[in-house]
Amino acid sequence: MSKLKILLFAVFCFAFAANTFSQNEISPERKRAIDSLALEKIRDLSKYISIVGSKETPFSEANRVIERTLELFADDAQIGVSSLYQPEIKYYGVRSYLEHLMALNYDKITISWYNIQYISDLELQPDGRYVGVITIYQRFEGESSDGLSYKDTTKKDITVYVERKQTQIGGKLIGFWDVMLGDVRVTETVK
Amino acid sequence: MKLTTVCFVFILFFIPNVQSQTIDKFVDDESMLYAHTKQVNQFFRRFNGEEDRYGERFSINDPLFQNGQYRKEFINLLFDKESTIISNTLKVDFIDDVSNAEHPNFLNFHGGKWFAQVKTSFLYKGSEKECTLFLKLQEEKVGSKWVITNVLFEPFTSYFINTDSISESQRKFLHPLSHELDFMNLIKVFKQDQIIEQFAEEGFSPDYLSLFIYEFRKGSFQFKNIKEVKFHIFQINNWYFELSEFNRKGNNSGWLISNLLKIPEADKEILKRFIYHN
Amino acid sequence: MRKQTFNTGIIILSLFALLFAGTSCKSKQKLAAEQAAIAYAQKVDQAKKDLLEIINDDGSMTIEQKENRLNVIKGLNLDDQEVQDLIMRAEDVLAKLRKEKETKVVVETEEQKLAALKNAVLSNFRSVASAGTLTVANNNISNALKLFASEDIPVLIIISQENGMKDYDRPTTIIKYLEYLKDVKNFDVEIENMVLDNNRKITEIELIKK
Repeated sequence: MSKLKILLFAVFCFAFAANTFSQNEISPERKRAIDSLALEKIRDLSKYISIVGSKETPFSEANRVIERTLELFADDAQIGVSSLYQPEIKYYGVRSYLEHLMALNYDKITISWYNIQYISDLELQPDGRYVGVITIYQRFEGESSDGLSYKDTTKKDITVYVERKQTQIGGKLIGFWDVMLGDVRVTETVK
Repeated sequence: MKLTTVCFVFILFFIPNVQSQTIDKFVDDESMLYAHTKQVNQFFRRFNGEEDRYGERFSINDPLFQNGQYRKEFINLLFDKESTIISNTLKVDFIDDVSNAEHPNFLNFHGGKWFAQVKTSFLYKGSEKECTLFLKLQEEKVGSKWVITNVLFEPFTSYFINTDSISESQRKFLHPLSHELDFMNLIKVFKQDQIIEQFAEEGFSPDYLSLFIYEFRKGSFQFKNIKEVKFHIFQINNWYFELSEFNRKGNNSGWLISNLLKIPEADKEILKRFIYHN
Repeated sequence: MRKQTFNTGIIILSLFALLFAGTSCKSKQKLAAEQAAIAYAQKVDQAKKDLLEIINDDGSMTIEQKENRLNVIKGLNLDDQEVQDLIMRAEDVLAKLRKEKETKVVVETEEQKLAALKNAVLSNFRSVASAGTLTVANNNISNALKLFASEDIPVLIIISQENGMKDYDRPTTIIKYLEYLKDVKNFDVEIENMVLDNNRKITEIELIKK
């Protein structure tokens, strides 16, 4: 009987511990750490885009970076782009977006960041993952060999999924934040 | 005190941001981008007076957190300044009301009483048509999600006639003893071009969402694009406002109040129905 | 008669003197013995005192000083049970101290080695992140990999710590991490922990955001 009680208690404790995280709000400190982790992923993305888009990057290297970029994204993520002259959203899969970028073959791509970003609240979605949107502004400058250059300033609203996961490494249980990028809405801003 | 706050808010929006470091030549643009209300989430925070000018959240102990005077000045900047449909007196009245020291009104993301209107385009039976979807945020056991509540699609709506528009003398009906004749008179109801809504029960309202799902399943619809998104906010007592996104030069851009109505709570349902069927 | 009395007196005196003289020789020996005993007792006392000092010393003497003093005491061959016991205790204490010292030397050397390895890892990471060309970056990656047991060893990156609970980024492998440094050209972490195998190759590395 007492063993059963202990077992029930243990099951209760485990269930409670498992639920605590999903039901409780993420503390402001943790939220800050997650925000900066998510921002870092976005900065990584912009570095990868520069590499993939640059003519100096060997083909094999560009393909390796494309694979690495895809690891940042959730499987079904799409990039929706609209410009001032083409307000209709063009949808790209992340891979086709990157391959399209590679085909543009700019001699040099410069992606400048505005010192501005807006990070939404993290909202809990029905599957237990958190979702947020980070808005950034970037200036894109692509120079081609014939001296022509393309410039635009875009607002990028990037979906960020945050999930608490656990894994065993070297016999230790490691709790980590899996930050995945989701759909990206790219809007050209009015000059 | 009021003057100080006015000055503060003025600095907040119009003086180039001294913290800008990224790209010198874009500094002007950058201060403008700070001013833009970049997300609906930011609109809510700004409306509630919960963040500073850089978008950093105030701690709840900060004297400016949900501060009435701060909100008063800030909310004023959340209106579409180019709109002519919102009168200045109405705007002032609204701002005074929501930032009222005794009974302030705040927006709550999970508070219900607001919904999205999304103008989309579909290929319908081969030709491109505009279709408006209405969505609301639905609370779930865990978290929340946006769900479609209604569809507004001209090829559907044009098939339905408001029976109130038919004069009494013109109205058709099934007489009360039709049952004795095994409803043989139904043949007249379903005559071609007959307005069959008039044979429906009182309060009948077409369910366009069901129609949409049916047509979609049949393969009549093919999604094309998103054209426009706006929100209808009914959360503030005796007020309704519309939130739209603007992409334009200057500080008055991003998510802004594009329409405002003072409306008694009792009449809000009528307004909602009007939006749904407009 | 008077002369006779005088002679008798002299004889008695002589006898007495003789007798007295005999007695004096015997007491000198005793004195010497007594003095020796006192000196011995003093030596024993001193030895005990010194031994206790060795035993109870809290670091004012070096191990060598203690050893020298103990050797001197042992050289005295004092036949005193208490001293013998204290010598044994002092030897125990010294043995323990010697062992501690040896261990400390080992630990210090290990720490130094680990610190050197950490520096090597950090400088390799930095050189990958700051490489001017792709070839240099790839060479630097190859060099860096020599410090690790394999390309797939796990890299953990701590993003925050709260109430002793560590929050990590998604775990990666060393090869992916090095390629990441090559791509983003930025390095902003410290080494929090490393696990080495018997060949002193890193089998696990924990980094922390600066």
